[in-house]
Amino acid sequence: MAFIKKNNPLFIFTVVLGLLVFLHWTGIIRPLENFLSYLIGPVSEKFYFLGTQANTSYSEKRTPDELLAEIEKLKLEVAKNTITDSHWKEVEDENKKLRDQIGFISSNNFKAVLANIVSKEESFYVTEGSRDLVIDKGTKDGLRKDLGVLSDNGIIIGKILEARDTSSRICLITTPGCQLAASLQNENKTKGITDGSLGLTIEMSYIPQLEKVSPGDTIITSGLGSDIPRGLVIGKVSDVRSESNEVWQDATIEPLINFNDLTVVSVVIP
Amino acid sequence: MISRILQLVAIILACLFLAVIQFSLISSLPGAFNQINLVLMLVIFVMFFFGIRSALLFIFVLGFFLDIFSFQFFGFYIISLAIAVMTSYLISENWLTNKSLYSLVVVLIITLFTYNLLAASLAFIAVGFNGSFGPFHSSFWISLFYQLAWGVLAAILFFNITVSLARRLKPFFLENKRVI
Repeated sequence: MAFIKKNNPLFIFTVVLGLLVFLHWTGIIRPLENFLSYLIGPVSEKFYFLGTQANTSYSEKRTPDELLAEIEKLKLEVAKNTITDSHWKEVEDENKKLRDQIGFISSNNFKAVLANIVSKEESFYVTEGSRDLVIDKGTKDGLRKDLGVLSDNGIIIGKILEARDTSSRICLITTPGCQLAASLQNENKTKGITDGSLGLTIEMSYIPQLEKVSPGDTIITSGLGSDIPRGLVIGKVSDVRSESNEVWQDATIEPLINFNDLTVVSVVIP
Repeated sequence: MISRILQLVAIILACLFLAVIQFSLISSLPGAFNQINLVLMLVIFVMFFFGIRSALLFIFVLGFFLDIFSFQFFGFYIISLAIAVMTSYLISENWLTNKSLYSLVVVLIITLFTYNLLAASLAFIAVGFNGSFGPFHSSFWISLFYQLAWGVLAAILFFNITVSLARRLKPFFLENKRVI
C-alpha cells in the first residue's frame, strides 16, 4: 500500500496521467491541444525549414570531379530538353486551343490547400523505411483521409493517412503500404497499383503480362481511387520484371523528386 | 509561492521549446543527426542530478507536448518515458553507488534501451500487431547505436561542465592519492 501514499510521486504521476488521458479521450482538452498546435505551427515550420536546409547541404556534398561530370551530363540534358521542350510547347498550344474550342474545363479543375511540413513522424519500425510527414493543415481546412498530396511542382508525393483538426499525417509514395491506383502513360493506359519499397523507390504491380512497359515510361495516377484525380505524375519506370509463366509483371519506379527537400506541399481536394 | 509558480512556468516554456526542437528541427536533420534524442537526454540528466520527482515533472510536461504534436496514441510518450526512466531509477538506486560519469553513462544506456524497446512495442501494439516489431530490424539497432553515441557524448560534455561548476559530483577518474 506504500504506492497509494499521498506524497508518493509515482502515485501522483499515475493519477494525473490517468486524468489527462481521460480528458483527452472525452475531448475536454481539445481546445487547449488545438491552441498549442496552432501556437507552435509557425515556429515548427521555421525549425523544419532549417533542418531541411541542413539536409540539402549535407546531401549535395560533391567532389570537384563529380561536379564536373555532372555539369557535362547536364549540358547534354539541356540540349536534349531544348528540342523536346519546343515540341511540347507546340502540343500545349494545340491542346489549349482544342480545350477552348470544346469549352472543356481545365483538367486541373480541383481545389488545392497549401500546407507547410512541420515534422517527420517516426513509425518506430512498425513499417520498415517509413518516415511520414506532418503538415499544419487538418480537417478544419477541409482535409480528410486518402486525399492526394503534391509537391510544389505538381508531382504526387503521397496521401493523407490521418487528419486531425489542425494537422495531418502524410505517407510518402516510397513508404511500404502507401498504395496508389496508377496508370502507365502509354496507348492502352495500362493500370496497376503502386506501393512504396523500403522508403526509397516505388513498385508497380498487377500490370498484365501482355502490356508493353519499358524503362523511362511515365507513371501517373489513374483516378480510380475517388479521392485522387487522374493524371498526377508519380515517377518514371526504371526497371521491369516480367516472367513468362506469371500472369502479372512488376515495374520499379524512381520518384522524380527528393522528398528531403520538401517544405511546402499542396493537398488536392477533388 | 510566486517563485515556485514562476519556476513551473519557466519549466513548461523550456519543455515546450525543447519539444518543438525535437519534433521539427531534429526530425528533419540528415543522417545520424536525426537520431539525437534531446528529450530523453534531458530527462536522464534531471533524474541523475535532481532526483526522480523533478524527472517525473519533466516527463509529464515534455511527454504531454510530444503527445499533442505526434500522431501516436495519446499517452505514448508519457508512458514510454516514464517507464524507461523509472527502470533506470530503480537500477541506479539499487546497484549504482555514486554519481560519477560511469554511473551516468550506465543510466543513459539502460534508459535509451528501455525507451526504444518500449516505444517499438507500444507502436507495434497500437497497429494491432499488423506491422513489424522493431528489434527484428537492423535499423532499430543502428538507430539505438546512434542515440547511445550522441547520449554518451552529451553525458561526457555535460558531466564535465557540471563538475567544474558544482562540487556534488565525483571527478571523472579516481584520484591517485599517495599514502606515504
